[in-house]
Amino acid sequence: MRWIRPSLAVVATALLATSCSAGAGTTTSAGPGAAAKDASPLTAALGTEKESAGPAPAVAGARAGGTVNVYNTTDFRHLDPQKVYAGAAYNTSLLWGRQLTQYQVVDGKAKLVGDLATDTGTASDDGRTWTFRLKEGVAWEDGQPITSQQVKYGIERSFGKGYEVGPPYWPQWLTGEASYDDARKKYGGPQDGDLDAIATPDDRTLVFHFPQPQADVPYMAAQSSSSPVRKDKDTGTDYDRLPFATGPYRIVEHVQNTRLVLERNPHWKAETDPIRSQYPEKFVFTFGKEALNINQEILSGRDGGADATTVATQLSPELYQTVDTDPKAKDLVVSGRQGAFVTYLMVNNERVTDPEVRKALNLAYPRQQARQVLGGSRAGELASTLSSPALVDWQKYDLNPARPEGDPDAAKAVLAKAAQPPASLTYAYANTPNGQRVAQVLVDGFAKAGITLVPKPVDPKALLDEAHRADSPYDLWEETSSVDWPTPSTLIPFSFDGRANSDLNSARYHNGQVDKEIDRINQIGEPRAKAKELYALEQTVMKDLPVLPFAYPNVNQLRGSNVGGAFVHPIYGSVSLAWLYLKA
Amino acid sequence: MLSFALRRILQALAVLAAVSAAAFALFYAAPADPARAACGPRCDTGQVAAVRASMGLDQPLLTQYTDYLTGIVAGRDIQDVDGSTLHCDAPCLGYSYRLHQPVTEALVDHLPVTVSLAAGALAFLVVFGLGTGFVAALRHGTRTDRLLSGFTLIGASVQIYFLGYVAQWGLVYTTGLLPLPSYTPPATDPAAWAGGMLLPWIVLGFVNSAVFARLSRSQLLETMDEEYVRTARGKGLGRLRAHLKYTARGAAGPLVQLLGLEAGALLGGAVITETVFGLNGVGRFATEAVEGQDLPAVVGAVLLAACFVVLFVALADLVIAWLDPRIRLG
Repeated sequence: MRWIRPSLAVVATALLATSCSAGAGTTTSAGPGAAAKDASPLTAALGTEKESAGPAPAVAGARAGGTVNVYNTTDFRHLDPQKVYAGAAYNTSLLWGRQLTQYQVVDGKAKLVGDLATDTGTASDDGRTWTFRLKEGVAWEDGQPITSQQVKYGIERSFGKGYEVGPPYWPQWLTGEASYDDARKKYGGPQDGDLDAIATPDDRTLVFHFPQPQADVPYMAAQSSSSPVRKDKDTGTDYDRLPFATGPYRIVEHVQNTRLVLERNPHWKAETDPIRSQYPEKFVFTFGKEALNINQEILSGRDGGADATTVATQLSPELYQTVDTDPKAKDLVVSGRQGAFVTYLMVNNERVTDPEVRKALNLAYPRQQARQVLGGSRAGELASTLSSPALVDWQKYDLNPARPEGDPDAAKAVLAKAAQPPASLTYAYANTPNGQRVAQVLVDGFAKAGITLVPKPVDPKALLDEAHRADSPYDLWEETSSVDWPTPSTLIPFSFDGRANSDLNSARYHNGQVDKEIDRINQIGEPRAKAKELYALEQTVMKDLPVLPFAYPNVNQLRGSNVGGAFVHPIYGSVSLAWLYLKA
Repeated sequence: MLSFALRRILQALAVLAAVSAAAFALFYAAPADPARAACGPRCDTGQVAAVRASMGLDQPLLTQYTDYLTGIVAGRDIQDVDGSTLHCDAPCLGYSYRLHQPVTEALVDHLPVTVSLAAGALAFLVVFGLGTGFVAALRHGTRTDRLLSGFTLIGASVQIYFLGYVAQWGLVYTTGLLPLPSYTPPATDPAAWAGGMLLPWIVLGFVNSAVFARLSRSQLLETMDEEYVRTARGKGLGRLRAHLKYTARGAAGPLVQLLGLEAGALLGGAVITETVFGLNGVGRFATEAVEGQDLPAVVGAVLLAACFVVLFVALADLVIAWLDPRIRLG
């Protein structure tokens, strides 16, 4: 489960919305993002071996050559594949890094296929053993072949000191420990020698042995931590600045927080890669520009702005009117759902213990007005579920129907039944313009139902720390979070397990029955069967209404007029560079 | 002169020590936890504690501070969060766990942008500020004087975040008269460097020149009335020559002082200008460090700014002493 900090969360939900779909801006009729207008649920289902073979589906009308400029306000926090753990960095690192599996995107829909591996892995022993076989012809940027031992070495690194920033799953699963700290006591990284849980019988075969059944191995194999690393190229801390490439591009220069330059990797072979393309000659990233400058430069099209895009900068509110009134500008907006992120009004269940009070809050919640101040309907779709529509086999449900604009009278009636209606509730919010606007809407809306909200502005960076602290004084706050991959496996078992600390179970939800169910379901090794059970468990949790779903947020970004193939990646939730091309 | 210089150096060091101690204490007391910031939002309490230990944040504040000062003078070894040890050469301003880079190195990466911005803006400020001040003083009481004084008043009253955006809108995005503000290393392409920096130079120089122009006008007017200037004129020296030779020199003291302060402040990072024009200099580096709770980077940026101010104020003092021998005795 990963969170985005409220400053980002606010950005993400505060976006202008345009009528563009994910594929807007592309003039082609086919290609990865072209048909994303289709609102049917995404199926990040598993692809076959045939679908895992390269090359990637051709992007109609794409042209090879040229330099794409990428403007971001800040550099990526990490480039070391075992440290990368955030949407935009995952998405961008596809350019130089390859994993065991990866998402192939066709018509705006993601399908998990083999990337370095020939398929998405084969399970045996009820999901306790997983076998991957590497493709022939996959190579490093110096032409040396990628071996199974190098993939294993990469995974071993993620146990090491300094890699806490990455996902905890490989260490936990491979040691069978529930806690990441305990896992690392069993094996502390490459300096502890060979990790027995992964066998490499030959240069192309990897066999993972897990103490417990693991259903989500194919998805974890797509995470950046499942990238190979070569021992002779492992520069330790500096690998975070300059990793060695396996993808279609290699890094030729990286001045931190200033510039990152990528050139074509001559040893990448399209026929081995079902996901990425290699149209532009170069990518030049410039970091350190302000969001408004980035947006204006791309809109103006001058001095390289026409060939530019951004992967992390949202459309500035100052330009809402421009893109609303100027069709040419509007055409440059790329919009789409922000991956699997969901925004919730969080409730501290140890402080708001009465379910009737939470029900009353849900009924009074002025969701529509709160979204209006963030840019209206296109800032995102109002949510009724804990899980995101981006998940495999997701189905919409609404166990606690409430009017979008809030129903003060119904809320009052429910509140009257509460054993101890609260005198007031403390609402902590990120002290940003958007945070303030939403706080005002909530204070007004809940007041109509007789619920007094005491708003507490908090430093945006500190909000989650403050709200997650064991002795946090806050009853309510807003939070945007995402599962780690598009199955429900990292949702309920992480965030609603009563035994987890308040860093993970920030709602402080305690339901012994749910905890037992989590343990039972975690023993299921078959991905779809496990997902089905978890969706059922999600509804059990939602009957208690521990948190109030608010929205499935959208992102809105700009691309230059000469940039083709820009769309929001359905899983990573930012503009993907692996399919971009320059039109002229 | 030697004791004067020694006194200045000791003063400067005392100022820097006080600034570094204050910056250190201030950010240590901040509510955000630098270890958590370095570790990322996912880390649980145990992991954060591990990172805190490897960052040395579990040490007493005084130990951290003395280690820091030692590093500036002699360099020091620093442990990264992965347990590896790195040597940080003197002058070591600490290690940024966010960037995984010595702070000195990161500052050096951003310094060319800030030096370019400051140098050009100062050049504009001197030429424009002194020019308008000189003309206004010479044409004292005329319409030209009132016009120029009014014009500089505009500079004194507008803010960069207003003028910067208006100028970009009018001169860059609407009419296309000037190139987009950007930084290109002058060694790579001098024309692109000057073109991209032109608007930031003009705006920053104009806004800061107002005080300079008004001060130079009043200083010149004051000095013009001095007896030695009138004597020079009385002895038959031409008006312009008299003013350039005697008036300008006599009026220079406060102007050089102001210029020294201005140069120091600009080199420490013109935060707002860099933000408005999207230039990735020291000011922006500092802003990002604050936002990212990057304690060593913040302290490093604060110290660098303090160094520049102290250095340029001291330089200004020396120039003034050279211009006016009476200062040295005082």
